[in-house]
Amino acid sequence: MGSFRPRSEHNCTLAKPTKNEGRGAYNAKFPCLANHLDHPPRWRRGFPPRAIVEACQSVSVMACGGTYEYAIEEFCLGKFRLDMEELDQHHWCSWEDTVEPYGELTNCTYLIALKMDCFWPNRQVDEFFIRIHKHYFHDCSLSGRQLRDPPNHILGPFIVVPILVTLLMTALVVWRSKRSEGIV
Amino acid sequence: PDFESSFVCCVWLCVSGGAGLYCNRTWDGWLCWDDTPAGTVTWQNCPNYFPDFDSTEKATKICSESGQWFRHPDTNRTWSNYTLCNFHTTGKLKMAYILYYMAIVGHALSIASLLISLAIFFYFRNLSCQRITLHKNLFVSYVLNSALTLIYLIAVVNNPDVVGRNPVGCKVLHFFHMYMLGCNYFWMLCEGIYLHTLIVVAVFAEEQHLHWYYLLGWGFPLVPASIHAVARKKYFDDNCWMSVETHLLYVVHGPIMAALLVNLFFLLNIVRVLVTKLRDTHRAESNMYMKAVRATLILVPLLGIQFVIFPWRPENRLAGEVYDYIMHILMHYQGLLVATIFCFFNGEVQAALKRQWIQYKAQWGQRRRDHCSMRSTSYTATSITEVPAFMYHHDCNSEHLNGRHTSEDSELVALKTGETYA
Repeated sequence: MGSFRPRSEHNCTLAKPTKNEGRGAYNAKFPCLANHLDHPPRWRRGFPPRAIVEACQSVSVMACGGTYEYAIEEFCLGKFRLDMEELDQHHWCSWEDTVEPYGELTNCTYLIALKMDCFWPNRQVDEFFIRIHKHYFHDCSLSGRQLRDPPNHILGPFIVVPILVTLLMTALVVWRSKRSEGIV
Repeated sequence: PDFESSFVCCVWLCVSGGAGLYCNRTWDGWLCWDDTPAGTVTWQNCPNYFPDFDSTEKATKICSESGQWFRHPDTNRTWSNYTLCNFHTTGKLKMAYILYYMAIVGHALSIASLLISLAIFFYFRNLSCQRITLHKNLFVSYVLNSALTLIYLIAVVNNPDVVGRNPVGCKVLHFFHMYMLGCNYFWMLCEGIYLHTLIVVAVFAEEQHLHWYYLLGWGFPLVPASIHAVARKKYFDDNCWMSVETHLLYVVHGPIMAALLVNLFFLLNIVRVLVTKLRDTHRAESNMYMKAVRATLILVPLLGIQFVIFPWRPENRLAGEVYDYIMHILMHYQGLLVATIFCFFNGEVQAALKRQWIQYKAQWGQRRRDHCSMRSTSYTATSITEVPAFMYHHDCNSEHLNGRHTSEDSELVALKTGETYA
């Protein structure tokens, strides 16, 4: 695997909790984290403090399957969802507009994998992204931004017209040089 | 790795697949791999994410018999083979540098030889005639082309950060490079048209007006170069327009090839006329012009062959290297070739130079003997300078033969008739 961008906890923004989530639900899913906190964590930029996560790692057996999958859906998807909702649906296929939330999402999954000591990328990340793509990007065109030649009906005239003009110009010069001789 | 690639790949991953036993399409972190039938090895070009990855090399991925992607035995994870991407890189880099320096040397030699030829043509004023004027313009266009190419090679090609910054200046430089390339070949075409008009159409008659030739040689190449710039900006706007992977280059190369073909046609027509029709009536002039045409006839295919073999680079490594060397010699040593064939191998130029050398030797000898003041020596010296004055007219001055000529030339013409030139 090539090297990813350098680790930076500030890049990963946490998802906002949905309305139904309360402290209870949160504690049930992450008992280790809940034990260290007096109140539900304020959702702010940045990851839960490193010390807490590392302490949790030593306590529980981290499953890189289900728990990881739940973690990325919990922490990363919400923010991405909000960002995409802010963006008009028509702009979802525009790479320039979606690159930032998409990058943050990818970064977030990577950081969680790092924290949970899972290999990245993995099957859960792949399936996660496939679900996201099926929801947001299913009708985008596949052309990509790779530079390619224009279609033939544009390329053709661009090539043929200068050749014809060249031949015309040559004929003109031959005719004019003949005439300047004064030869009938 | 590029987010864009993963984005594009994943969009495509969602489209449903086909039937039969196959490995599912997947993203391995660097590249997207298509559905592959079980038991086959699929390949695609290496990505260009890393500086030492050669995007002309191939990355491979094995799909096993059971419809699963190959897993590396050490880590038991799916694994794609990218080892070839940077395997040959050091060797190729070395060769690229060799070719780069060859190109620079070629253009420098071309500029030097062309400037010497221009100096010869300007110094020996009696060599001057319309054909030599066309030669001078051709040489000037070659000098400018070589100079621009040198600037382009040194400032842009060898400088990845300039290419990365992508300033407007490097695209302007590329535009002028395309323009000068066009000028080279269109001046060759002008030479061909001039000879054709002189021999086939007008049969050694009076002087032509050169305005149309100037227009075709200097003015017209702006047209393909501008069209190429517009098309490139609109459809294939890569950094500094450096890529040669686009068919838009044919916007410039197409007219050049057309000019070369037309030129070849004119020259063959001239040869036909000289050999068949004029052989009996104007034997002396026919021989003369045969020599003039011979030079152009050798040069046109040599200049043109690089466009013919350009698209076909051999796959084999050794053959590919030989191809690269040949192409580089054909492309970058053209100025030297043109100067040699049109100037240094020109009989009249050689005669003029020889005469000048003899004159200098005689003058130097005279200066040594002058203190004895022997008049006979000075007489001999002047007669040597006077007598061969007609010799270097014979290439260009058929117009002197048939049309008007000044009174002092009349006895020179009398001296000339009946001579056959070797």
